Amino acid sequence: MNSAQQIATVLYSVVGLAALWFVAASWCAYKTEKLRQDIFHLRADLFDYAATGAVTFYNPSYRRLRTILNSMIRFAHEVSFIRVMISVLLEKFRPVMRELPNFVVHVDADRELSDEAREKMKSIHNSLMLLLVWKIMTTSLAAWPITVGSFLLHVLKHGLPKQTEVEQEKKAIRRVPAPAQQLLSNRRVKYHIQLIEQQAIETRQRKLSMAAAAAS
Amino acid sequence: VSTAPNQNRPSGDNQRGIAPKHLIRLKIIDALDANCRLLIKYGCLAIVAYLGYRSIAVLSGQYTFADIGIKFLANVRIANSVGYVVGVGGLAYGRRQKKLREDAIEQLAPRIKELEAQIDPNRTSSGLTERGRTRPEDAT
Repeated sequence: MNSAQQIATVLYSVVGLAALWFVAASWCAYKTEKLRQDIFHLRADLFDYAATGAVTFYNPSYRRLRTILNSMIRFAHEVSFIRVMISVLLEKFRPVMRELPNFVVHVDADRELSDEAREKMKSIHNSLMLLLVWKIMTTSLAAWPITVGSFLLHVLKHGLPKQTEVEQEKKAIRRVPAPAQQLLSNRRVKYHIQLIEQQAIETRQRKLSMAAAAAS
Repeated sequence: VSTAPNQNRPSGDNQRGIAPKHLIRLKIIDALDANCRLLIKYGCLAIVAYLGYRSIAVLSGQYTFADIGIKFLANVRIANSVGYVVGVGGLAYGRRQKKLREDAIEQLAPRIKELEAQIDPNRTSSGLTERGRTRPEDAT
């Protein structure tokens, strides 16, 4: 092989790698849009449920869940494995976010809701978390070895998750494959996914405040 | 996700139990995440470009672009051309489907919004653009 041939081969490889990079970027963009679409379905499901009169449109839990769904739709492009890892590491060494109330606590404390409405809202919220986990798992190569490793470590330390918990996750949503359901039975994973929700809500709140201030 | 800590916090923060320390933490996570992702995304491209450049730089001045171009095209073998056509065709098809989907969103979403607003006048929105894209100011 002469040198001109070598240069051509190098260029050929560079073009191939750039094309691979483009395909990977397109895949991530597709997964973001897929996540958004799935959350739109959850939001429509919630709206239809409220339209039956089972919960009022003014109920605080309904409004909070709708805010969570809206925030996650808007910031779906920011959901990443790196964000979860950074949040896990920061919270491990300097916990700050633990005292923030999560949605499940909020719903359990809501006395206006019937048991059925409470379960429905928890189920929608759980489905959202499963979708977030699945998006993270399908857009990061590093996510699989690290998560499988930490899951095995968790099993060695605490044993397998209780079957009832896994069954509950399965009932919540059937579109999301089993690995995401297994993962979400880990309370720490659940906690950090909720942290992502919290970030999205706060950012949306800031942006809305800024937009309102600019308009007035 | 950018979260700017602000001394003049709106009253809703207290209701949600949000304090400045939480906002600072969110801002730190946000900054680290954005920088890590940019580093991975463009770092890979930079490494590929640098290695390509180093491979070629040692032979600079010895060959013309025409020499290299001919050899490059020689690498694009006829036997592989079906693969290239399928790849490029697939990308073009994906782009057209995406455009069609966005056109449908632009056309149908306002109607859903209007109908839902008749039932729930305080209906809140996700805040995406009319074509269902990320808002430019939200993009990393």
